[in-house]
Amino acid sequence: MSARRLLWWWAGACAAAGIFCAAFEAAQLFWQPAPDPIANRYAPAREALRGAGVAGFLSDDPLDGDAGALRFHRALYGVAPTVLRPNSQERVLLVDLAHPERLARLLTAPDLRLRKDLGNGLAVVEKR
Amino acid sequence: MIALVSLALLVSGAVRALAPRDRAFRAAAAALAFGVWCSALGAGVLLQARTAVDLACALAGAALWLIPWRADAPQAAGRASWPMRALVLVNAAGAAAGFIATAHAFPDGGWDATMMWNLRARFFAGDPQPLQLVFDRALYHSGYPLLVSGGVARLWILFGERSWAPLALGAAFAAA
Repeated sequence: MSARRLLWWWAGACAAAGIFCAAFEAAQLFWQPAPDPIANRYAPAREALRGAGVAGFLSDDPLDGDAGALRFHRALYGVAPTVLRPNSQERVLLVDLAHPERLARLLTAPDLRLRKDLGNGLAVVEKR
Repeated sequence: MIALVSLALLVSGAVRALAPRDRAFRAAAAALAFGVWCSALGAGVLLQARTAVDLACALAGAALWLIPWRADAPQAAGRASWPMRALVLVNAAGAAAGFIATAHAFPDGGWDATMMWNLRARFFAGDPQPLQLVFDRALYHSGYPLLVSGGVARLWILFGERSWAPLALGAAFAAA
């Protein structure tokens, strides 16, 4: 087999492998259920925080864990152009809970007042 | 309206001034002008003067119409062989399938889209925001170039905040 022919076969095999990998990856992505768009959850919070400028963020997921970091990032995008800061020092706070039933317990804190319960574990609270 | 006029003047002026004869170069000139128009929105936000920047774009486009210079386009040499054409077609089909599958799996885009490009576009597209918020430390990659964010924001300003707008821009970039 000549060097030129060998080169053609090599190039063809590489192209076929690449196409197979791309098709496999695309099929995998198609078969996975698509996640809910971020706006589905955070659009009410975005409206409730409009004009606030900056808000703090409270969650029952620790922000240094994967789930908490993902929750914060989705919320950060979901409520923009309000800037979320990952702390509770701001006067207005977005509460984003993985377990909505914990909201009542959170609101027993003496320095927090519920401004709007958005449901599904989301609420806007403010410091007294 | 001023933004649309500035886009029309920039693209037509760039095509006329930079590449009047060759089709591929005309497309490149149009893409270049579109990129300038997208990035200009970022400059408008930074300067807190979006309308003035759009007017400057329109003036630049009009100035391009006044330039008598014509670029000599090089002639394409030969034609691609059929195996090469087939490979390009298969490649393009694979890329399109990947694009559609990714758009299906990540309706808001991947991390880069939600944490950099579209996030900052939300600050550009709405009511003017104070600069200290646009570049707040809680947001990532404040120094990232403004081409993509500006492009997404431009489309959102024109068509409303539609989820297909960043996808369309991504597809246009991929096609280019």
